[in-house]
Amino acid sequence: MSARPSLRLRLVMLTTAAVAVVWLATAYFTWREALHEIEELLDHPPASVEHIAKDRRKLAGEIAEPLLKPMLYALPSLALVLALAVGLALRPLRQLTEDISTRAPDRLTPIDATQAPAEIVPLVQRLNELFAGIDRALDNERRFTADAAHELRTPLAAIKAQAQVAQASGEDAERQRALTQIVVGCDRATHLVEQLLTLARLDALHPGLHALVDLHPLAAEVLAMAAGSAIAGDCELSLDDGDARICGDAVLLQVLLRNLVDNALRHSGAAHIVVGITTADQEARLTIRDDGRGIPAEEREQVLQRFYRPAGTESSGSGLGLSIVQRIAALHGGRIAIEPAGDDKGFAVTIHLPLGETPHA
Amino acid sequence: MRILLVEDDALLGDALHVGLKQAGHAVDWVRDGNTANTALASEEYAAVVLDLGLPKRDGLDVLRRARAAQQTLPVLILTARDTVDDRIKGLDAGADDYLVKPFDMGELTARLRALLRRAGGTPVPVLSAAGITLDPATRQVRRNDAAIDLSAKEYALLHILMQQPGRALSRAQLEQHLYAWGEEIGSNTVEVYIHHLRRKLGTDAIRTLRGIGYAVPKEAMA
Repeated sequence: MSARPSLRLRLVMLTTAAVAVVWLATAYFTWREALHEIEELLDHPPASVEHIAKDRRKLAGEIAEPLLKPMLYALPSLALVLALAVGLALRPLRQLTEDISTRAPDRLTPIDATQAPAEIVPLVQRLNELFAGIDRALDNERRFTADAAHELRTPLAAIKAQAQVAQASGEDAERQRALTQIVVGCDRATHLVEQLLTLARLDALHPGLHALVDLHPLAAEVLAMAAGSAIAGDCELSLDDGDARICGDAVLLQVLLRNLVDNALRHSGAAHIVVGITTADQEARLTIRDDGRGIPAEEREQVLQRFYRPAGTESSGSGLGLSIVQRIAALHGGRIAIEPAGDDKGFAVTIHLPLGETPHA
Repeated sequence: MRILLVEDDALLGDALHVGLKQAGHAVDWVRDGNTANTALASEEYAAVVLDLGLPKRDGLDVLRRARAAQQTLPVLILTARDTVDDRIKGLDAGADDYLVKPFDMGELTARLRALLRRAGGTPVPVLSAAGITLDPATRQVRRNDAAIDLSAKEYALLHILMQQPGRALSRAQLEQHLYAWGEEIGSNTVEVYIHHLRRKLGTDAIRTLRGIGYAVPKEAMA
């Protein structure tokens, strides 16, 4: 229950009061006019009843005319009083409008709903929910920007320090090495910026991806593209049989899989990476399993955090790969699960995605 | 001077490792908080360059532990966290200085020199004793106004001795200060450097106190 009466009750009460006041005043003036007419009649009585009968129309007119006068004043004053009453009744609405229209765009504190009339309370509550949502989103954005700037500082510091080492170096070999490290540092900063941009674009997307995508050919394509770095890293990539068709965006799903394969190639030190697609419980399961060094149980929760890099990983990572994967999975109504691949060795990531349509046999 | 470098980022750590060596320091580089605390407990360092965002144990935690263990060596925090709050937290946890990434290598080494000066109890930037002056900023050594050319290790050894003229340091202590992990130490290298220094600066520049160690006298011999 709201602290204030409803707008309807307020309107009804105030208009009834207004009509009553005008009606009472009119009745009083009518009564006075009637009295006056009767006194007139008594002061100048007609000569006879016949006279009255003969002049009844004229007489009625003479009595009615002054009686109608109060009505003539009553109507405009009723309109005036009603206007005042309606204005009074709608005052809470005006206050609310004023409060919202004078708000600074960044002021997202909730509106006081205790003073609002009952009809407006749901609107105010919805607005407050909206404000809270925008506030959270802005807060996330701010934190992300701060984190991103923070993360860029380290590669920039490394590049600058390596450059100054090269400047100060007296030996050619040392200088060459520092210059090579500068290039590595620039590559790393570039990778970080690219991942940041991918994530920023994903954050702006909303669910609603409707094309049908077959996962097996998509995985085959991503793995084919990764073949070069896999061979260079002496790692064997393979794709198990099995397919699933889901509703989604093929480009985003490629980004998802590429990040997972990249992670396994870069950070696990694995000799084998196996991608498999299965279906169960109305969902498609895309699993990337490696036999690398895995991730300690206590760190498994943290790897999904943005910018988290497990201890001992090479610094080339942005710490954003799994965040990107998680976001894309969420956009498809899916989720990510991380577990050890078994035998205390390696690492398996499974993406659970709702099935779109049963694939052809 | 022997410096402990605590930095988990491979590329930045590498640059600092080389850069601090260029500045004449012996540098031990560790990449996580636990190893940092172990190193601090087992070795004697002149100063620590400490990153805050470390795996296993946060840099501030490393610092608090070191201070709780009565380790008084100067600590310079090197971090990407730049808010005033962060700096206050770092300084209050026991840091002596705070530098935000990206930083200038020249500024880092200058700040380290300042910290080492204070820690050595000689706020004067140019050290002098026994008619020898040593300028850590330019790494120039003069004897009676004549510039003397020293190798990196000779310079480092003289620098350590000149921080506290008149105080003797044993061979083991000098080795601690001179060599980082993994550097080969010959059985009589300190003696060899002392010999070279005496040849370049004069035999009375460094005294041997038998059974105790070596010292630079406060005043030049008449």
